[in-house]
Amino acid sequence: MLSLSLAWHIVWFARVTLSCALLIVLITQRAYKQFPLFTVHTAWTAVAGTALVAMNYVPFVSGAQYFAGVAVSNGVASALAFAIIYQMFAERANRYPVASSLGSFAFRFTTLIFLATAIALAWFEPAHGPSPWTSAYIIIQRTARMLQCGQLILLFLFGSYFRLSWRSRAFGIALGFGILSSSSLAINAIHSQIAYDVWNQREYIFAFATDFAYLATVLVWLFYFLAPEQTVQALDQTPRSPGGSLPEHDLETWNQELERLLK
Amino acid sequence: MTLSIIIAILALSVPVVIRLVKGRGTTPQIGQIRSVDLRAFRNLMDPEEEEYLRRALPPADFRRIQRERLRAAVEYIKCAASNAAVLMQIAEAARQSEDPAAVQAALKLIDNAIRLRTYAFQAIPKLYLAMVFPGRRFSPARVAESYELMTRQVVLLGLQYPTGEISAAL
Repeated sequence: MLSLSLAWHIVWFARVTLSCALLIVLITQRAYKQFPLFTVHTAWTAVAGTALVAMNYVPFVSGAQYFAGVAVSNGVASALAFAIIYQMFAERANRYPVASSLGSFAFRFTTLIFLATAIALAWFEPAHGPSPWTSAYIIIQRTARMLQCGQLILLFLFGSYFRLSWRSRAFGIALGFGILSSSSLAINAIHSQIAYDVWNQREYIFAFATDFAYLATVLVWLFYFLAPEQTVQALDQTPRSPGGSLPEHDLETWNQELERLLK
Repeated sequence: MTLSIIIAILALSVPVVIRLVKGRGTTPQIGQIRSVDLRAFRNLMDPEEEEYLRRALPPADFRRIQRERLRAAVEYIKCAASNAAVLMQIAEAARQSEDPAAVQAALKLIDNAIRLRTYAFQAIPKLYLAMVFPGRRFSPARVAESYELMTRQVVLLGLQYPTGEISAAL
């Protein structure tokens, strides 16, 4: 039977390899022009992921140094994720001037609500790490993931209610972050409440779950970037010639409308 | 921990549910448009009509009838908001037209459809509140005005871009 440690290592290497593959896809498709921040995020996760794999096998890297590497890698990735989510929200809302001001108010309000919730959780449910540094790391990550989840829920609900158009790739990016943030939040929430003593089977389960969620996210992103992009469909795509006569029903409706205005 | 897991489940399920319910890039259909009688809606929201009913009916009957009227008004608003959503899809497609006049008409229609859905979002909870307290005055006139303006913009858009029978269906 496959040991948990081996399964985790397979998933870990697979997600790092697929992150590199995603970066290649983004570069070859010139998607960096349309999604520059997402490309930076992918490049960072690919480079940092490869560096962490190397650090894991280099004998002179201590446990503390490796932990610092993980913290820096996840910290930068989280900051980039915030920037991407905000950019996606702003880009969608700014295309519609009427929705823009309401959107930015809703975004700020949601961020404040979720920030307050995350701070309250950090206060009432502190993490049980082996050291103050790891406890702080778990809490900061939980707070960041909670904020991202809140912003993503708003992004999806706001766009869905106002039927704001969404390119399929942008939806794929947001869906990927949804999978990543939600699974990471759930794993962190459970992890923070379980007392840590030594690196044991339980820690392997958390590491496996975290990397598996990331692997699923990268696969979603790859799927959306390899699939052809969907466009908005019209009711009837037949172009109307500029000099052509208008169909009769349009004129009839126009007349009805004028009558209504004159009444 | 429970709260974190609830938020995590929500964040994961919302996009999945949206995609499952609305599908991917569906073409708007005329059948999705539901006719809205603006005159009847205005009558339901008329304060004078409400005042007349209040004077003419015993309090218990007035409350019952007023609740029915408000329920009907909510249905009208839901229909108008649903129509606005379909029109937004059409206008979104028209926005990519090469004709600048069609793009302009589409942008105006999109703005007004968003405005209508904003008003509907604000009006529906207020109407439900008014159902609980039938004496409370509330007139979502902006919904009616916005809907009327939107129907005119659909006709305008129809002059520049194929909108099928949608303007007639409104």
